[in-house]
Amino acid sequence: MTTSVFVIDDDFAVRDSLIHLMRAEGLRARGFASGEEFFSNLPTDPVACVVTDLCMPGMDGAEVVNRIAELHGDAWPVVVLTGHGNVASAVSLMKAGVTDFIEKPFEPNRLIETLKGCLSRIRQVDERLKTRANIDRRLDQLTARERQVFDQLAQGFSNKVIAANLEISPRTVEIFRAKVMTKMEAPNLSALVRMSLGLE
Amino acid sequence: MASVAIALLARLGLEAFGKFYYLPLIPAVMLPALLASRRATALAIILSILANVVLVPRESLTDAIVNALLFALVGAAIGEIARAGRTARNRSVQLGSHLVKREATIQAMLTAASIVTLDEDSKIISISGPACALFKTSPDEAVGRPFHDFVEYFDPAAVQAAAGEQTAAEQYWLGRCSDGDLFPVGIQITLLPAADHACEVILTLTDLRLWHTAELRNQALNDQLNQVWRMNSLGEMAAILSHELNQPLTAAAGYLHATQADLGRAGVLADSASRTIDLAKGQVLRAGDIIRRARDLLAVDTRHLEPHRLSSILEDLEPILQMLGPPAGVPIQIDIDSADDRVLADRIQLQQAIVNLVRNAVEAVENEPLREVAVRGRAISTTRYRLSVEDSGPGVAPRQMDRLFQPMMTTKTDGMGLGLSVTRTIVERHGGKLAVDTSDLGGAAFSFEIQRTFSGDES
Repeated sequence: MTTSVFVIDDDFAVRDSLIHLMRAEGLRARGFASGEEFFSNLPTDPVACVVTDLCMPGMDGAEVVNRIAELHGDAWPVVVLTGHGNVASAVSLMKAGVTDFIEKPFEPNRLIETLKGCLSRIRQVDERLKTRANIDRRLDQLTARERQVFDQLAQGFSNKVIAANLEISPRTVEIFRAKVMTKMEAPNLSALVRMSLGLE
Repeated sequence: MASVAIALLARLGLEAFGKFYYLPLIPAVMLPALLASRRATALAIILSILANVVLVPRESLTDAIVNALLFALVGAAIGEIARAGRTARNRSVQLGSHLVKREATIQAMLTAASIVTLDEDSKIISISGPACALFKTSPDEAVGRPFHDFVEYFDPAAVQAAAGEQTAAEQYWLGRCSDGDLFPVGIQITLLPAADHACEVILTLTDLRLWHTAELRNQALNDQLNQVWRMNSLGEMAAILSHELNQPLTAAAGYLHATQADLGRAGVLADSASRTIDLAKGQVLRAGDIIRRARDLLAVDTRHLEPHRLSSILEDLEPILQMLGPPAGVPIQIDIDSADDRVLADRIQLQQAIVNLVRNAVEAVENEPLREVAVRGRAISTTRYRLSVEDSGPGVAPRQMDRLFQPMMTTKTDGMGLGLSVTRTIVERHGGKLAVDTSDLGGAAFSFEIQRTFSGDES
């Protein structure tokens, strides 16, 4: 599924032209007339790009930025459009995690380049998210004892140490270990350890 | 009584030389008449008659009664005349002392006031000490010289004409000292019609130097505020225009770029059209640059905020605020907590913001039965100071609340709607936020907070 770009701007012409522009560049785009409209119809995409105007009646761009940062962190990068560069607000927005700050009117290429950069970055984020979801799904299949063995293996303990720690026989540990490897779809121990790192 | 007794003794003594009847008793009546009250005189007359009737034998009863009545009449007449004379004398003594007092009072006033008297040709007849000091001259030098030697273009008729139109404080003349210095002087004129139809003129002079300096300072501040207002509103206008224009320019650039991208898919045939569109996009962006430059040029110079005392900022401003309020019948109450009022501010800009808010408040209450405007200031925490301008007007309607600070939005028939917008910009440059609420005076309360500073930070 292609990643979407959400455009929030109270000015219809600006919103419409940006959507045209993005679609012409092959991006998926959808417009919202205000922050309120955006959050009451909040899309469920795990990753997305947001382009928002700064000065809007009602909820302003800064609030949009903060709420998105709270909800999705870097899975939803935000680009802010502004009428006139205001150094103070630019600094505070950058601190709030805004990817870019573009002054209107701008060379459309600049926005497109910025968005493409965001998209490639969140594609990685997306993959990481998917991997983690996979691992989480597999971990859910483990029994309590298997999960204990998995945690011990991830810490690099040998079968003997694990047997001593869990107060079971080394033979039992071996059986559990084989089950964990199958359920986690891990070809070898190092793959299993990498999966455990992906959790942290 | 004593006088009657003495007179009787004299009368008895005189009896030997013939019949005198009442004649010797006349002095006995005159004495109390001259010295004592009307009652004492009457008593003397009665005693004299009784004494005479008892002591002097009469030929007939008629003679005795006629003589007694005549004596009583003569005695009463003497008594009344003497009394009238005495009252007149008393009154003239009183009048005399009153005149002396009055003379002394006038003299004292004359020596304290700057007074010049002129004859009908505007020549100086007399000049008081303070007036001499004012012109740095002496009475000997000044008397006899024409008054326009001392006050340029002086003409009594003109002074009188002017007095009808303007208050003395607004009308002033240029006085010239003997050393050539010029100074503002106020002149009040009184005409005394003299016996021979020529008029004598009395001038009361007021030194307006101090008033003039204060007036000049207020004028300068007012000019400065007007200048700041022009710059602020121009800057605000530029900001509004650039914001409004940047939207369609952004949209145009976006549409053009989208078209260009579409054309790109049409292959080489569309190359030329794509280049033309690129040129068009360049022009749109150029328009954006022009607006940005104009805006930067007109942007209000955000100077560094410096420590100032709010009470001093308001003190300077007071004459200006008094020009806004009282002429419209609106008293302006200034209540600034001067204990912890040191704040970080751009003095003239903050004054501009306050004047804007007060002007709005005055206009809001102008047609109300209750007219009150208050400027209040309080430290609300160790770091923030809160200033509010409140009025007893109708307040702000809820549906206007959110549009209130929008530029070009006005409820007045003769306004650009820039005042509140400019004020908000100024407040925001001071790190505050302009808020509107309901005042306990009944109307609107516009308030904002600014950064406090401490005496130690003062540069």
